[in-house]
Amino acid sequence: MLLGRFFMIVPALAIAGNLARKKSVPPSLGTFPVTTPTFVALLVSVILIVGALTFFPVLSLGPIVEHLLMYAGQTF
Amino acid sequence: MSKEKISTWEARIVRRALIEAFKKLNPRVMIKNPVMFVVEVGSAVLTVGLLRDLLAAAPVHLAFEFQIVLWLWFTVLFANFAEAMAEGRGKAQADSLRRARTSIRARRLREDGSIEEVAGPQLRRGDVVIVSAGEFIPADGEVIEGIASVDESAITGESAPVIREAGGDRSAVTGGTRVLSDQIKVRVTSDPGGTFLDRMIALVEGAERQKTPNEIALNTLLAGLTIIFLLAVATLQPFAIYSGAPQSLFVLVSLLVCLIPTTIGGLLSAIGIAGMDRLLQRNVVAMSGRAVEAAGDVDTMLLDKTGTITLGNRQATEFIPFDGVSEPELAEAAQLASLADETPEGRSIVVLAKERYGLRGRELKGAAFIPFTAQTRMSGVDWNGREIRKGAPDAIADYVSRNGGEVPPKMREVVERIAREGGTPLVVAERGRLLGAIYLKDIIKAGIRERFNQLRQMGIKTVMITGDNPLTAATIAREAGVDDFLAEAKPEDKLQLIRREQAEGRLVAMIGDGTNDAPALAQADVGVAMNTGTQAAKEAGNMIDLDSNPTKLIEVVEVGKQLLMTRGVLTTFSIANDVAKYFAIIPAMFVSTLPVLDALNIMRLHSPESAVLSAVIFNALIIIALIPLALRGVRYRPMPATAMLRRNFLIYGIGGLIAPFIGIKLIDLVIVALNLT
Repeated sequence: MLLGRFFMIVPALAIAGNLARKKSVPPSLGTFPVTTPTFVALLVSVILIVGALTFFPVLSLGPIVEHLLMYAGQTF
Repeated sequence: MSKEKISTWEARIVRRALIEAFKKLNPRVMIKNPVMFVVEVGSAVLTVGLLRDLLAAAPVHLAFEFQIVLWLWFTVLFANFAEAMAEGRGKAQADSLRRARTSIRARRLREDGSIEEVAGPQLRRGDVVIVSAGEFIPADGEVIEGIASVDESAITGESAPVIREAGGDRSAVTGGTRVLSDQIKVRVTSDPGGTFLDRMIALVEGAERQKTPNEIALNTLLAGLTIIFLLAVATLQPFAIYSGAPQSLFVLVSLLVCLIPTTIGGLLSAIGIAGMDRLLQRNVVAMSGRAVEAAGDVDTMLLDKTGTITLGNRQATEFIPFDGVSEPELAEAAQLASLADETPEGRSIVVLAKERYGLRGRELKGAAFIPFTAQTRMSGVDWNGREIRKGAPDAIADYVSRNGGEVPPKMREVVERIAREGGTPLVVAERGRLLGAIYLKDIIKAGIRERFNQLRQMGIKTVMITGDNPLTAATIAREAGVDDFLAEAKPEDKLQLIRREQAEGRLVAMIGDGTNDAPALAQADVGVAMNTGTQAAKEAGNMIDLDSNPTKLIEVVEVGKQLLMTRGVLTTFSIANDVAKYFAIIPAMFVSTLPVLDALNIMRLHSPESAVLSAVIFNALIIIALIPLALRGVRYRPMPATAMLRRNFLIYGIGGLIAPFIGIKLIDLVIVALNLT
C-alpha cells in the first residue's frame, strides 16, 4: 500500500525534472496546442486506456464478476 | 551508392535477414530491447515447462502448450526479423561500396620530388600523391595542384563527371573515385580506416548505430509499461487462487506477452534504421540517427538563395553605363574583368558582351586575376596597367573612393531600380572611375513557392540566406514566399542567426558546401553538407548529400518527421491493441470456474485454449504485418500538428482498438477449422 502510493512518485518526479530542464519552444503551427478538444480527447483516452489496462484483470475478478453474479442471482 | 536501387524484399536480403533473426536471439543482444527480452525469457521458461510436461507425460494440454511456446518464439523471431530487414538494404549497399574500395595502387611523391609506388592502405594523412587520367584516387584528399574531371559515380551514383580543382570550394576528392582526364596532385587528408568510404560503409551497415534520445525515452516508457503489466499479471495469480481458479504458467505468460507493447517494442529499432535507410535512398548519408530525428523537429530552415530558391545561374541581361561612359566601353571593361571568372554570372557577362558588341574573348598575357571572396565581395583583373573591378555596389563604391574617385548619384538610382525588380546589380569600376552597372537576372525555381507553403503548414520557418543587398533579397523573398531573409550575409552572420534562433529554443537546419559554411554547419542542429563541398564542410555537418542538391533539406525534414510519426502511430496502435486481447484472454482464464464471465467473451471465441492461442498468434502476426509500414514509414502530408495528430489518432488509435477484435476472431475461426486445440 505504502509502496503503491509513494513509490510511483519517484519516476514521476524524474520525468518532471527532465521536463523542467527542457528549453521552452515558441508555439508555431508545428506545435500542439493543449487548449483544444483534440488534446482533451487524447489525454482522456490515454488515461482511460492505460488505467484500464493496468487494472482490468483484477477488476474482472472483483467488481465485474460480482456484478455479473448479482444479475445471476448470487450475492455475497 | 550505386544507383541500382536495392529493393527491400529482394531474395538475398530476406534470406540474410532470416539468418540474422536467429543470431539476434543471443540474450546479450536482446537485453538492449527490454520488451522483447521479456518475451524471450518468457519463451525460454515455457520451453522448459513444456519439456517437463513432456517427460512427466502430463496428459492434457500438450498440443496447446506446444503451440503457445512455438508462437512466443515466433514473436521474438519476427521482431528480430523486422530489425534485420531494416538493416538488410544497408548491408547490401555496404557490400557494393566495399567493391569500390578495391586495392588501389598509389604514386606517392617523396619529399625530394621522386615518385614511389605504394599500396593505397599505406598512405597516411599529409602524403601527396599524383593521380592521372584513368587512375583511382587512393584516399580522401584535397587537390593541391591541377584540375581534373572525376567520375564519382561509385559514391554518388551520378554518372556525369565533376570538376575537381586546386583551391576554392571544389578541391575535395574522395577515395575510390576515378580521374577521367588530366592529372592532379592530391594531399591525403585521412588515415586508412577513416576515409569517407570507410565511414560510409560503417554507417550504412549500422555498425556505429547508437540509440537516439527519443528512442531512449520511448524505450524507457515501454520498459515502464512492461513493468506495470508484469505487476498486473503477477498479482493476478493470488486473486485467481482466491477465486478458486489458479492459472497455469502458460496462460499467465501468454497474457503478459500479449499485454506488453511487443508490436512497437519489436519494431522500434527497425523504424529508426529504416529512417536512415530512406535518407540513403535519397542519397543522403546521415552520420547519426540523432540527426535524422532532429530533422523531424526542425523549426527553422536556412536556405541558400542560389540553387535552392533560384536557379543557380544568374544571367547578365543588360549593361547600364553611368554618365560619361559609353555602353561599349562598359561592356569591354566588364568583359575584361570576367574573362577569368568561371562563375555562371561571369560567363554570362562575357556572352552578353559578345552578343551585343561582338567583343571576343582574348588571351590576357601577364594579367593578374583577383578572385572573388566573401570578404572583399568583388573580383577583377590587373592587366596592362589597367585595374578593373566588378562586384557588389557598396564594395565597389568603397574601392572607388579608396582610389580617390567619386560615386555618382546615378549609381544609387540604378542599383536600387535593379534591386527592386529582383535583379542583382553588379557594378564595374576602373580605379577611381565608376563605369556602370550590370543587370543580373535571378530566376526563381518553379514550384518552390508551393514547397514553402507546405513548410509553413508544417510550422517551419524558412529563412533565405543571400549575399545580395536587402532590396534584391526582399523582392526575391516575396516572390518565392519565404518567411524571412538574411541579406548581405557573411559567414559570421549565418552563425549568429543560427545561435539566435537556437537561443529562442528552435531547432535549426541548414545546408552548405564551402569552408565558410563549416562553423554554421557545426552549430546547426541539422547540418547537411554537400558532397561537392570542402572537406571542412563535410566534417562539420551531420549529414552529407551525395547529390549536392540544396533542395534536399526539405526532403530530409520530411523523412525525419515521417520517422517520428511512424514511431508515434505504432506505439498508439500497439497499446490500443491490448484492449481486445484482454477480452480474449481474461474470460478464457476464468470461465471454467466462473461461468458468468463468459459475458466478457464478446468475440464469442470457441474455447479458452483457442482464445489464448488466437491472442498470442495475433500478437506475433501483427509484427510481421506491420514490418512494411515500419520500413516505409507512414504517409506524410504537410499539415499542422493538430490536424495531423487528430488524423493519426483516428486511424491508428481507433483502428488499433478495433483491428484485433476482428483479427483474433478470424484466427480463432481458423484454429477451430483446423482443429488445433
